[in-house]
Amino acid sequence: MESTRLKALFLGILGLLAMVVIFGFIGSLSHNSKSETIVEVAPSTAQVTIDGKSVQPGTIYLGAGNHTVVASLDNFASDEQHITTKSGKPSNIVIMLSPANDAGRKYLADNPTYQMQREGIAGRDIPIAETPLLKLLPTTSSEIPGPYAIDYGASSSRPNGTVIIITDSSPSGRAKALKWLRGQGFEPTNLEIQFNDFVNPLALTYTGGGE
Amino acid sequence: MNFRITKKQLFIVAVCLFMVFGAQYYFSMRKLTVNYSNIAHVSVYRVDSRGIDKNSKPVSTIKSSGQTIKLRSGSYVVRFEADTNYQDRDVAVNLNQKHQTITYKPYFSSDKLASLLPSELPSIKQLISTQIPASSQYEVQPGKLYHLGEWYGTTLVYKGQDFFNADTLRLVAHKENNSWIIKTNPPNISLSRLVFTDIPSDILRSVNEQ
Repeated sequence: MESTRLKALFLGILGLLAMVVIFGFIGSLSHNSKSETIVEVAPSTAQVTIDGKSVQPGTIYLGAGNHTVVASLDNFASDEQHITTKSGKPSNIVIMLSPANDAGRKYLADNPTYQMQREGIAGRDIPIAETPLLKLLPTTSSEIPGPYAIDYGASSSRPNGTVIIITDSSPSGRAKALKWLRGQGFEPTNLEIQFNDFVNPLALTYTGGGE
Repeated sequence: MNFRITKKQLFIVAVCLFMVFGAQYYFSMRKLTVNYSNIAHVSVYRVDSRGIDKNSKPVSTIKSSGQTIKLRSGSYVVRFEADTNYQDRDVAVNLNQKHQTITYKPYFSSDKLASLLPSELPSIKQLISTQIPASSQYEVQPGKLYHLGEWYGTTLVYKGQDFFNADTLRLVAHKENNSWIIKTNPPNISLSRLVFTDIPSDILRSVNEQ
């Protein structure tokens, strides 16, 4: 009896061992033919799907070809990105969700870790054309006092750069336009902003000494 | 067929299993090296779906600068508690590579910087009035020192009659060879890190929020 039990135990362990080795081998083979892709999303609590399948942010392996990545979180504007991967070539997907309403903004204020994640992403040199901001433009406010319009165009100082253009504005309108950008989750420091109606009184008299 | 298994054979199989799982665990680990100065205590927290808060427990602590620890891949926050007069800071780390290094050299605390400001303000205001004569149309706010006291940022509040251009402007100066130099040429409504690439973006952001 004991011999039978030992035999079953032995075969069970042997089978498990074989499965671990076989799956590990298959896994390493399949990873070699795929693209190691780092998926980074802020806030990290967002739900992420790739081609409709739910995935955890981090390192995943994607087959070569076109993929659609969608990140969503309650009270944040969803974002969809398209990526083309090649066998054996690493890829990166970076998504920074922006709050869609006051509840989303409160969520970031109450969870500084997530805001820190967003700032970490925003601090990198991601071309503005790849951010969700341009999807929100143009926008206008006719509120009195302080009307403004915000649009975008090509930067004259940075090749391939994008500039945010604030027009139709008074001083209070320009301040409100900056507040609107912040409210949408876009830090003005990270943007090149052109104030079309503003004639800088100090630009005319500056005598040098800086850059 | 009489199939008999000895304890020795079972032991060998168990060792093999241990090695396979051990190898899998070993290769899933990442190394993190932490360098710092003027820091009293360093702890590392794993960021899960709930983030971290004051009740979170560290997964590791760093005893000395240059120490390397092993962690599972994932998102972490390294919390630096600084010596007196220096800033505490949380640094987010996404451990995806086999070996990553982070370095934190803290800046002065806001209290220390505030204590240094009065002795620097006269020379800064003198610089502004000399190099930007039209700044007499503005009231230069006290502003703040940043980092180790070598950066300064302030706002200029308009007090003239031109309603259409009465915006508050922002200015950053840097101390080089013991002299202050205006770095934002000219002061502007909003200072972009894409335009002023030689000014640390944390300073630009703070000045934009003043």
